[in-house]
Amino acid sequence: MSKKVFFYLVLGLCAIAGAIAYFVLDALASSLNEISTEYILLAIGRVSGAIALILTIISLGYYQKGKRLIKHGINDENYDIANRTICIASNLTIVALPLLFYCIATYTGSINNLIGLICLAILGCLLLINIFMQIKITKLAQVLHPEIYASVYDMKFAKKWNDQMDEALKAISEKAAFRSSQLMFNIYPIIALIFLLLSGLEGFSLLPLLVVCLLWFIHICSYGYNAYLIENHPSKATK
Amino acid sequence: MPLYNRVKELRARLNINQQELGNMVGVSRQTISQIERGDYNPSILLALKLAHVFNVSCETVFYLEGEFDDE
Repeated sequence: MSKKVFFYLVLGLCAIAGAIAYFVLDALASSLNEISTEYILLAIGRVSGAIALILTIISLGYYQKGKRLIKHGINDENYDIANRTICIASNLTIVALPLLFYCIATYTGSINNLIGLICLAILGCLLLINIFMQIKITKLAQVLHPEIYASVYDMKFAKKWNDQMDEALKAISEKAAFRSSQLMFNIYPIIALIFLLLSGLEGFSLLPLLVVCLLWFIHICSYGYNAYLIENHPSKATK
Repeated sequence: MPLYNRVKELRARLNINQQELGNMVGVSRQTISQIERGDYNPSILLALKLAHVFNVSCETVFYLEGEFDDE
């Protein structure tokens, strides 16, 4: 099967799947409305909080392991292991942040009673732990990468970090950024379609669809503009 | 076509670690590690710098499959 035929086949299948989903959801709309949408959103919030807590604990473990490795001295044999360990710890805390934000935003416990207040305080502490963990992990990463000396408290830290990276690190960063962009460009239409289908349900409106389309628009504009700038005006792009 | 290299072997001959070699050619330890593992193909500039440090030709450090020339 040629790639062209396969492309149109996938396109056709997606259209059919979308149509089926629309009709199924339309038929189930009344029964789905009986289940409170708010309840589902709040339940997702609690699950997010639980996942964030697990990720933070695992990240702490990796951070301690990385710290121990560095403390015992880095050599050619354990450098890659230390680097990988710190990279995992860093990624886990980054992933935990949006989950915690959502969990706190959807927190419904009463702050008038002690238990509610304690729960909220725990979530706040978890958020702070993740922020401080990121600072600590970045400082630990700088021990492995002494050529990157940008202060973690600098408001332009990300740009300075990128400027101070050498060629292999830049290649990794560029490849990761490209892959993540490609993934997002595939995911935006899927999420947009899901929100379009859900917009008919009670508790949902067209607002989530608008937000997704807006993010999609900003992302694709930013990608296109920067690609144009780097290709045609490289001196401006490096500023 | 994969690019092979003898960076690890030549570095061992000089008796220096990855960090020291990285400092000599102006890159990080991670870059040297990635080159040695064959996960990263260096720029021409870095390849020339490495060859200069090892005091050999660039082709001695980096070679394509079937072109290995044991000097």
